[in-house]
Amino acid sequence: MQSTELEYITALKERLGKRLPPEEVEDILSDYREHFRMGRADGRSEAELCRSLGEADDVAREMVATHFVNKAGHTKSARNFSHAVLATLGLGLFNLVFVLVPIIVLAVLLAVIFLVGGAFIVFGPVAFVLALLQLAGTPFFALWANPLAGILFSVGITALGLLLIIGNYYLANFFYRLGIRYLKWNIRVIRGTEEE
Amino acid sequence: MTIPDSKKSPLPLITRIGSIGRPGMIRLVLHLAAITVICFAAGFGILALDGDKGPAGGDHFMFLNESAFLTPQTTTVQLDDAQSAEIGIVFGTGNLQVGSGGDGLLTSTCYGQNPDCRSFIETSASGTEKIVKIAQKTGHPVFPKRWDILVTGRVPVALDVTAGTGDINLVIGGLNLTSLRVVAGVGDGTIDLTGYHGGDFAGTVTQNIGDMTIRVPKNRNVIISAGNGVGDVKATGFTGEDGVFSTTGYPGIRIEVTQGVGSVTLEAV
Repeated sequence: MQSTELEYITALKERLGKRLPPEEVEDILSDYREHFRMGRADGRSEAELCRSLGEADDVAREMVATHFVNKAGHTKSARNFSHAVLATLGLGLFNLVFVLVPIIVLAVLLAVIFLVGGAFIVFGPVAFVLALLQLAGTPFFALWANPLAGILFSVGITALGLLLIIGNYYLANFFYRLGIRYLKWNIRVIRGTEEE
Repeated sequence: MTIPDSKKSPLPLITRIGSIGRPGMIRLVLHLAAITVICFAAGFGILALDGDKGPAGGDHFMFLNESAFLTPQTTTVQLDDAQSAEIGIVFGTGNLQVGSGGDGLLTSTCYGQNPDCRSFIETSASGTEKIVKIAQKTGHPVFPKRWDILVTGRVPVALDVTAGTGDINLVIGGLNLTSLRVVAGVGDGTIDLTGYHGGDFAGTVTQNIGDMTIRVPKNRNVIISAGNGVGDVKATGFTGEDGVFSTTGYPGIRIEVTQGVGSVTLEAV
């Protein structure tokens, strides 16, 4: 546990410097320097201020997680979101259950819908051609019980596939926003627990 | 704190969906939904009007041609000089369809995965009677198996059918039966004797679980005794009560039905 401002700021700088851009590290450090300056002015010792701030390791992890979650909130991308999730996982082992499991479940759900939609989009035109061949009396592969109905089903399946892909896009956006809010809430809860 | 821009999404096709304006997207979704609903409704409408066009003309309602995924294997047992026949059919899992017709005494077409679908056939003779035993080889089906068997109506036949799991459909009005024995495990069954012009016979039908429908010609003398454990017995076109139902008179065709769980429907048409 650090007991002076220099030790604390050095430890924080070392941990943040590995994950965050230098200008952001400098922003954070200047906030903490200001905190120490105001604390000393109030007559508190550096050791007391260090204790009240908590371990530099924990603070750095929270800062990194907050940075990546905010970044993912500002700029939507799978990469940013995965960085945010990984940074949040670093806050505690229990986040493997409370963060990783729901994220995996939602990701699998989205992947399944995407695959089904994609399969429909591919299968529809192929089945359409097979139905036309069947209708023309040259059944290369007599897929449909009734070729005329097969033509309609093929068009319907293709349209359904497109609907699934479009729906999946909006569902992914919804889950993304929900995920970011959940990660922010998770960080707040952890911070609150530590402050107690 | 400044947040640097991240790289573009690795899924450009998907992200392009977002570049379509909201009114345009709503229009697109509504059009696609309408196309989907109309196409499926019209497709199922055509199937409903058309009925099933499966390889054996069964009554299954399906939009894919089941036989397209299965390898048909046809085996014919010739009638030779036989004046009568005894046919035993043993079927494990799948849908069994027995009808009348074919070139020989018996024509078996099995739709299933090669080679476990192949039927096992044993023939022997007793005087002028030909004895045929046909059994399904065991195997793990990837797709539901279907077995179509056509039996000739040119000679009197004693028919014995044993089925395990699956639906059975016996459209045997074109046969000339000397006896009928049906033992079914689990699944629905239909025995259709509509248009039967053969001789009188005695038959037994035993089914464990599933619904059984027996259809007989109302202009023939038929008496059916039906008993079941759990389920209803419904008789249309018959007279009688207490599980014994008859058409115009007796003697004639006599069928004894024993049912475990499921309904029994008797129709004189």
